[in-house]
Amino acid sequence: MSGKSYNLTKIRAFIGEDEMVMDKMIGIFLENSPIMISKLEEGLEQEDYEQVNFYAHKLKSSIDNFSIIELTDDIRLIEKYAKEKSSLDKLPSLVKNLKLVLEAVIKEIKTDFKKI
Amino acid sequence: MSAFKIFVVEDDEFYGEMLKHHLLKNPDYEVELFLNGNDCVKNLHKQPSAISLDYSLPDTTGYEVIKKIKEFNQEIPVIIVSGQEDITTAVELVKEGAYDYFVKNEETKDRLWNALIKIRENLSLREEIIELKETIGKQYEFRKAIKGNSSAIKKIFSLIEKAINSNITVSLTGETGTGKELVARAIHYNSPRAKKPFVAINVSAIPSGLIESELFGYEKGAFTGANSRKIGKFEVANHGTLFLDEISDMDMSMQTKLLRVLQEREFSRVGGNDSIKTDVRLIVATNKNLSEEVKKGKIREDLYYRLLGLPVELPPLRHRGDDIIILAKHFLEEYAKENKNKIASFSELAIEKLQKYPYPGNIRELKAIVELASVLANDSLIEEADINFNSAHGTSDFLIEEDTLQGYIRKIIKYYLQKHNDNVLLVAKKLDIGKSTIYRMIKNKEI
Repeated sequence: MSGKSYNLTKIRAFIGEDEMVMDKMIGIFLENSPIMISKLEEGLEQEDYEQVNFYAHKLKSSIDNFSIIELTDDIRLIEKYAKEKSSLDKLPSLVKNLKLVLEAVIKEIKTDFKKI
Repeated sequence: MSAFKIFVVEDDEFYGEMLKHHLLKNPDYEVELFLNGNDCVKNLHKQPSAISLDYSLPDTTGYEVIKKIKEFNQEIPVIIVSGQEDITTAVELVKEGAYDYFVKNEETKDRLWNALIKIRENLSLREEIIELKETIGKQYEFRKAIKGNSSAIKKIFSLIEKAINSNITVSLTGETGTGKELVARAIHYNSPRAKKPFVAINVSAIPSGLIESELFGYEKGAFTGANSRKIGKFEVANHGTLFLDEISDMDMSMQTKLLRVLQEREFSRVGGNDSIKTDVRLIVATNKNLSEEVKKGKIREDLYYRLLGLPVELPPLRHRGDDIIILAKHFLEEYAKENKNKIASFSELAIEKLQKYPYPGNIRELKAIVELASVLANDSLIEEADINFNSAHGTSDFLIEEDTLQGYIRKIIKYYLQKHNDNVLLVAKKLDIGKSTIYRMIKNKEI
């Protein structure tokens, strides 16, 4: 794979060149994303599609901000299917892939920002 | 200016922190982040200057939060930041009082930044206006603005107090120069409407064809030359006071329209169909006798009763005794202040002269006389000779100036002689007196 699976350009544009703040932002992402994934999975298990939609919506903004291109389309599909309660059979594999990719990104970020 | 405090309400902690730190790039901003609606509502007592509100919150909806914010303080601008592009929700929220509605995308941060700059500018303008209004309010604190101790003016004070504490229409009558507009302003700036506009309009100064659009405004295209919508005085003065001076000069068709507005409490702009609700306190003034104008058919009777409200008749200056001197001294001080001079004083004879004059032009005339005297006086004492009366009203008011019967006789004969080119025979005939009486008076230099 060429380069990284995420980039921080958008976040930098928002907060400016402040490494302390950047560390804080990454900290929040590392802390919150696993919780949101498990909540999303929980919703799927319990067939509570409102919960799936809610957490997909939340994850979407993080995925966009970290420019995780591999997931930008998928997260929108998850959000859409859950909202419309359509193509529900496609959700499990989409969510499974989402979890895999995000866990890999988290790992990658953790290596890049060891100090956090 | 006080600190500009911004609340960011955003359940997505990550996005919220990003917004917070983005806004903190401006060193004048204080930003507080809340992860749910209730925390924001609980902290409203900190008086935020603006709120950025995420529409979808875990504990409540943006709609509920904005309602609570507006209940707390209607003036706080709330910007909705939403993940979804939903025009109906956006319109609903703006109706509920939201300042603007942004969809979360690449541009959000810049649009929020610009909106906050605008809000801050408006806020500082508003603070400036409030400050100015307070200054003006103090100027019109009526016991200071309206000078005098005479019983005639004390009656007016008690009427003004009654007007201040109610919403009743006030009709001010009185000769020209008796201070009708000053009283109208004093009523406004001491009433609960003081922080809203005071709008004065002189009916006789506006051509009758234009008065309707002046009062009610017009819509774009209402007539040739109406290139954009114009807001009328009734709209400008909403929640405030509208002062209609020289009301008796309003033509009949306009009177009918005004009557309708006073009855219905709503009006339409010229060329428009929408009814606009209005809440104005009306003060009208005229130097004519309103009931006489009704008898002459110049004022509609039904309008007259609507306008009469609390009638306040301002006394002419000549009925206000020592107020003349109080006012003269006040104008002297004002003149000195404006011109950065030492305050002058009047000689005893000058005071006597001022007291004797009838002032047909009332306070306005007294002011002009004092100003002229201040210019003419050589030092800080104003002498009798510095007081000059140049009334436009001529001698017709001479009876009002106190004199003895002999004094009046002399004045009358002198007036007739001037009028008839010193033709003694003619004057004697007209006044039915002997010509020798006139000759004797001339000889004795009595006239």
